[in-house]
Amino acid sequence: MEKEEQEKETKRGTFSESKDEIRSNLLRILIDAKKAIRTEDSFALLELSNRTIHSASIHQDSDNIAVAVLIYAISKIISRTDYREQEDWPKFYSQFSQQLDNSIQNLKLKNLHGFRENIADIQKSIDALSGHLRDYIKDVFLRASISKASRIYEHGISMSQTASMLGIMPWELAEYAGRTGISDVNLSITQGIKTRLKRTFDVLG
Amino acid sequence: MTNNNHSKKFLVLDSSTVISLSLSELLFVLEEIKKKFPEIVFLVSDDVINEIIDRPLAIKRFKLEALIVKKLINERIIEISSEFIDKKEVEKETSRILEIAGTIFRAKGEYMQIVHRGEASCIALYRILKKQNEKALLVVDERTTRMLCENPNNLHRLLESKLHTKIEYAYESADFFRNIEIIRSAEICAFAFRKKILRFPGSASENIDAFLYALKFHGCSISSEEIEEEKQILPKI
Repeated sequence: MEKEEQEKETKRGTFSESKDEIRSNLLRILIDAKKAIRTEDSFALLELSNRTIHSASIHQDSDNIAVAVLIYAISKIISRTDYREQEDWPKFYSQFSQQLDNSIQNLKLKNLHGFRENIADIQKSIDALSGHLRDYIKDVFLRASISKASRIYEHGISMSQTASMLGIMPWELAEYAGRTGISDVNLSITQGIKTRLKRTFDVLG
Repeated sequence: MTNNNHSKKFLVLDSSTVISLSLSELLFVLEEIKKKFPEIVFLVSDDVINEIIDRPLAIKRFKLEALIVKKLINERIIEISSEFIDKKEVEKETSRILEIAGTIFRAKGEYMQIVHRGEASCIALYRILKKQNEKALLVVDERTTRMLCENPNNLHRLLESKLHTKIEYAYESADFFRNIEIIRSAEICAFAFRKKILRFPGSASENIDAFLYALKFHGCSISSEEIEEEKQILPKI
């Protein structure tokens, strides 16, 4: 039923009733993000990005995930004042701001197709940059995806499922997640070491 | 499968296991185990092949790792499940497992898909092998699949605490995943250590510390507490 509804939603190009909560949540987050970008408040942007992670983990929808990654990346980008010295920075900032405004408008109008195009256009505007700024920003977005994936994995979604949702390699997630404390959470310890070793030697000899 | 396979011991490897071994530069352990214990079969599903070879081959960053794994497949150190089990049977069981796993936890009216097709295919392979009375273990380094099989109650509590929301839990569906015997790359290396296959200069404690923390920092879900315990237990086994 869920899959059918999603397919109808994509064909229709609007948010369905059941997804209206997601839409409202995304709208609130993007409006707050816009304010935070204006005041260059990277900490506020980080907090906003974290708010979308719960929703992304539960609904596993591409829109929540895209916005979580976008806001996290922007929080990192605006905290780096040296990027603004790059030649293409004014062009990028202007295009990004415009697409952010457009995405907010489309969310208000419940225009799913339009909203997704705006998010995709942000990616296109990065691809259209030249030189170092493009490479820096692409790298920031990749790191943002990996970082958000690690949070979702930490929340309890499997590594491969999380990697698939974020469009990254499980290799990248393994490398990153291994350095966090995910495995040290008490609930993660499901059997004793003696039991596991005994099982290994009983079968393998 | 023929009766010749009954002497074999199958280790069904999830992609997370191959990845942590690869990133820790411990893949050679599989080759060395295979030389000394040819009856041990390291098995991967077609879905796992996609994750550990096909996709990373297209990305420069992990291309070498993918080629190394491919070499192990070509040399039959790691074997593909379709050599032993009918592909359609695995696919059918995988889809069934995905469907059941996707109905265990529900939040805000939506069922949560907590595992991926790759992970489900490993569980499928293991279950088919066990139905055929084969000796088998499932080797999973990532946390969620292991928790789902060994302690879904803990997984439920984890999801609720992290997502700050009520999670409905269908424990009857979770029962489907009971009695699956799981180990990790950590235990494969512990076996290799005890059989003197995995040895570096230094004391036993230093060796165990080194390879277990390497695996941990490259994605194997083993805690520091478990590592310290293993350093005490393993030399005495």
